[in-house]
Amino acid sequence: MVSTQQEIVGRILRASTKGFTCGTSSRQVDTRHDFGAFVKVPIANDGDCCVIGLIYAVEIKDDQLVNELVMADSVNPNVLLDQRENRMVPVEIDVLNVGYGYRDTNGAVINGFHSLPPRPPMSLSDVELCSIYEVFMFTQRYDFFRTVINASDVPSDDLLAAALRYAAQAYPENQRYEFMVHCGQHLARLLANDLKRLSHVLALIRPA
Amino acid sequence: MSLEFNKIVEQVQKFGAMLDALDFDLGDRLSIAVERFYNPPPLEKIQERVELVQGPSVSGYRGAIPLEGENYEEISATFAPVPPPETAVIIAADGSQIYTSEQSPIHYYLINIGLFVYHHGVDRTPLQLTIPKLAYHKSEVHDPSGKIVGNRTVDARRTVREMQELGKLAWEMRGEINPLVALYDNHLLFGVSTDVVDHKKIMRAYRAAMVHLHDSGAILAGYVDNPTRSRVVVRMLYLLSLSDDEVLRADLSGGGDLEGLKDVHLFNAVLEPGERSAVMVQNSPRNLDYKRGEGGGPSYEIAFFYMKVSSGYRSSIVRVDIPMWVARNPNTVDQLHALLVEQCSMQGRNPYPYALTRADELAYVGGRDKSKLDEMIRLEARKKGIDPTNFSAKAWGKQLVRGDKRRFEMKK
Repeated sequence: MVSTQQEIVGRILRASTKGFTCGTSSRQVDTRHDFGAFVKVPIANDGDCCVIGLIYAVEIKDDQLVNELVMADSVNPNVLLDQRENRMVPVEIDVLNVGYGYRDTNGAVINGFHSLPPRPPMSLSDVELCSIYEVFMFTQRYDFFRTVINASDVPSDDLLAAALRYAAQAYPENQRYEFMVHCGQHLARLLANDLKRLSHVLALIRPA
Repeated sequence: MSLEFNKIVEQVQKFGAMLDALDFDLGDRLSIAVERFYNPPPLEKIQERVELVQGPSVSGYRGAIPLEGENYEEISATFAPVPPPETAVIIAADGSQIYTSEQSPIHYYLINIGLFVYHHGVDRTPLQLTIPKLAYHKSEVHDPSGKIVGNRTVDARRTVREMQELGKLAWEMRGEINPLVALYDNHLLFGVSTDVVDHKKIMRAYRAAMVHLHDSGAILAGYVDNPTRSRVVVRMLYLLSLSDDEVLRADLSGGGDLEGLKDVHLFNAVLEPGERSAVMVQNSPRNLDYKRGEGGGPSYEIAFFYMKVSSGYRSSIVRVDIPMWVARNPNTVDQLHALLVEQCSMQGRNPYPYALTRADELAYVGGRDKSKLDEMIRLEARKKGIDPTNFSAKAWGKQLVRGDKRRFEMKK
């Protein structure tokens, strides 16, 4: 399946079964790269099976020229345009794998498993944003919560909260509150022995 | 085996001791030079002296001389930058190369030109382009005797390509926005030694490119960031301190009682940040050839001025070479000066024209690019049934021992 430029979050730089890092240019960064967004990418040598992951870090790389420009009293607008549009400042996006699934006849990744994928994706594979339908289908179960909560080197509480707020948008408006309540109930079971943490995560997902 | 630093420590210490003994003190030479700079002889006297050193009885003077006629600027004058023009275009060019390798089974070289177009006064994304040219035909990579062309030949061809591409782009952009500044990252008084293949042809091409730039109406400038070897103004101050008799006897190729002093020392003392010196020309046979030789003309004699560029954190003395078609128009020189001052304030602490920094970045061909190009060429050769490996035990041995080594370091 050929992805359109609008859907592509980036291309794989390095990967493992636990997660992957993809890269793009700074001029491409937009809402597709939001913290907590659901993304998918085919695993190695299997176009039908896709890893599903959550964006947990977006890092904009610097170089020595950028470092010098930062020191300037003000940055000339044309220099700013040049740096952002011409110099292709690299952006790295870190993703935590939370499951995998298979494409249906329409190309949507459904039939998801909430566990780590059998193989990592290959270098340069296109990483795409999951569609609303895919997010909706994947979040019908809550087993991936444990993967996020137990992930090391990841801001897991904030990530889980951001992912749930993101996922709630995939639900019809009148079902969002109910979805969040179910998520909170599941979290209460998972974090029953850590009430401080539970309280923190619940506060993060509480509707404003 | 890597360098055994324990065997070199003592040598480094001796080097340090030598630095202590060296005389970095300019003594009173700088104050003498400054005194002479601010008290030049009257113009008539300077003109007489210039005529004398350009006459047949004196040879070897390689110092500066003031501009002639109405373009004359007093040699002690310094000029603060005027406000830059409302709009302008600055085109910067730079080049990089991969040299031919005798060891390589397939001979080629690459010249990559980077061009950067900056629109001053208009909010517009700068234009950037690179023009790589792979030279592989035997007429390009071999000299008439069949030997591979040397690095100096590749360098000379690169210089010409830089000037040609600058000229082409300036021609395409002529009349769009004025003024149009064509910025070149080196001195303009380019010369080719006779060991360079097709040296006459290269010089003709270089001068033709300058003519193209002149025709396009561009303000051509050669930016010399670190003119530490330049002593032309110091030599002039020495010349002006001599009597006519002494001029006939003195060695004018040096700095006389100012020997050791460089132009950067002098202008560092007399210029304030942003200021420029008077425009002058260098008296030399090469410059005379630009003025009177084949493909040259009075408009192509090379003049120069010094500038103290500053970022607010750091300042440095630079020399800006300009052809006479630019030098004889004071308004144009002022515009160039102002635009260079602005360019040098655009990249933080580093007082260097932003456009040249970017042109260099675009042109640069690094080791990884070279490896990739080598790989592409080997693949292409294999497609044609040619084995590109041409095994050399010496080259392979070097590759093995110089490759990345596993390094053992203390765990942090």
